Amino acid sequence: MLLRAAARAAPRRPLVRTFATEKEIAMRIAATKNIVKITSSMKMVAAAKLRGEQNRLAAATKFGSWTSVLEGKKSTFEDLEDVSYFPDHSVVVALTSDKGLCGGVHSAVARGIRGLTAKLSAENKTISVLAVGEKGRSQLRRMVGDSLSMAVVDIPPPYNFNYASMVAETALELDADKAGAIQVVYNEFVSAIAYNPTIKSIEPFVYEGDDVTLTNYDAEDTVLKGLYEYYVATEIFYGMMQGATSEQSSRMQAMENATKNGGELIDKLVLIYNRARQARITTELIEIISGAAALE
Amino acid sequence: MSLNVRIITPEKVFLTSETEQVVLPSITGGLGILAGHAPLVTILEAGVLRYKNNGSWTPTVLYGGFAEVENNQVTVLVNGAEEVASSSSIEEVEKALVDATANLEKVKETISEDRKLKPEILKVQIAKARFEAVKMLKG
Repeated sequence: MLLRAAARAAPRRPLVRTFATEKEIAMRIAATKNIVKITSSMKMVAAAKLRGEQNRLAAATKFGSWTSVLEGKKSTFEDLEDVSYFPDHSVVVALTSDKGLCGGVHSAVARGIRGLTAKLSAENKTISVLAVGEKGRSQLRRMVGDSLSMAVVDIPPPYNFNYASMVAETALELDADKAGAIQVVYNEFVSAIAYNPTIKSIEPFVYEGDDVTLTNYDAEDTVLKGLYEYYVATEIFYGMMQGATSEQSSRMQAMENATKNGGELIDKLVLIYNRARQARITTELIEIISGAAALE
Repeated sequence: MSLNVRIITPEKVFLTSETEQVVLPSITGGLGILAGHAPLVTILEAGVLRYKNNGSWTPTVLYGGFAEVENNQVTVLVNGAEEVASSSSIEEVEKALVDATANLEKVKETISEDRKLKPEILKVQIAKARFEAVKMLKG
C-alpha cells in the first residue's frame, strides 16, 4: 500500500532540470529503499510465523476431528448456491484479525457475508453478525451495517482455546431465543498460495432416540446442550487457526509482491535520476563552452 | 479385548495409551470405564483422570471438557491437561489449594455474578485435582 502511493507520486512530478529535482529523486530512492527493507523483512517474519501457525493448525485439526462425524454443512462461498438449509435466523461469526497488510483475506470474509445476506434476504431470512477482529468489524460495518450486532476486537494472536470459548459463549448468547444455527465464516488454508473463504453451519443437537432407559447415564439435555456449546467453541477455534494460517500465508505473498514492485520502482527512479544528472552535466558543459567561446 | 485411551487438547495430542481401566471425572461423579463399555458421551469437569496400566494407576489433571466411549476407544477432549510430577511436594499443592479456596471466598464477596466467578472456581477445581493427583501418586 505504501509502495502504491509512492509509485503514483513519482512520475507525475514535472522534470525540471534543476539541482532540487535531482535531490528530490535521490530522496525518493532512499525512501523507497527503506520501504522495501520493511516489506522484505515483513515477508520473512510472515514466513516464520506461517510455520508456527501451520504447526498449531495441525494440532487443532487433530482436536477438531471429532466434529467431522457430526453433520455440520460446510461450503466455500464460491460453491454456496442453495441457501435453503439455513434457518430463518442465524448468528454469523466472522473470523478476521486486527492486522492488515495481508492481501485480501479479511475482505474475502466480509464480501462472502455480503453475498450471503443478499441471497438470504431473497428467502426472507435474517442474520446477526458477530465480527471477530478489527479489520472484519470495519469492513462489515460498511457492507452489512444493519446486521452487524457485535464485535470482539483487540486480542493479540496467537489465538487459543480460551479465547475461542469466550467468542463461542458470546455467539451463543446473541439472539439466543430466535437463532436457529451458528455459522462460522473463515478462510480455509489450502496451501501457502491459496485459501478458500468458507462457511460452516452448526445446528443444535436434537435428541431423537427412545425414551430414557437404564443405559442413559446422564441427563440427555445437559449433555447435548454442553456438547453443542463445545462443538461451537471447537469449530470457532479451528476456524481461527485456519484463518490465522491463511492470513500469514497471504501476508507473505503480499509482502513479496510489494518488495518486487518496490524493486521495480527503484530501478525506474534510478533511471530518472541518472537522466536528470546527465542533463545537468550537459547543461553545465554547454554553459562553460559557450562562455569560453564568447571570450575568444 | 483391550481399551485405548486418547487425551486431546487444542494444542496437542496429550496422551495415547493402551489401558485396562479408565476413571473419568464426569460431572455426575467418577465414571469407571472397562473394555466393552457401552457407547457414551459425557461432560467432564476439571478433575483427575486416572488409567490403569499393568496394575498401576497413573493420574492426569484435566481442565474440563468431554469424553466419548465407543468401540473400546475412550476419546477425551479437554481444554487443557497436565502431567503430575512425582517430585512435587504434597505440602506445596495443598497450600496452593488452600490459597485458591481463600481467594475464591474473597472474590465471592465482591462479585455475585456466576459467570464472572467461573474462572476462580475453575482455579480451585484444578488446584484440588492437582492435590488429589499428587496424593494418589504418593499413595
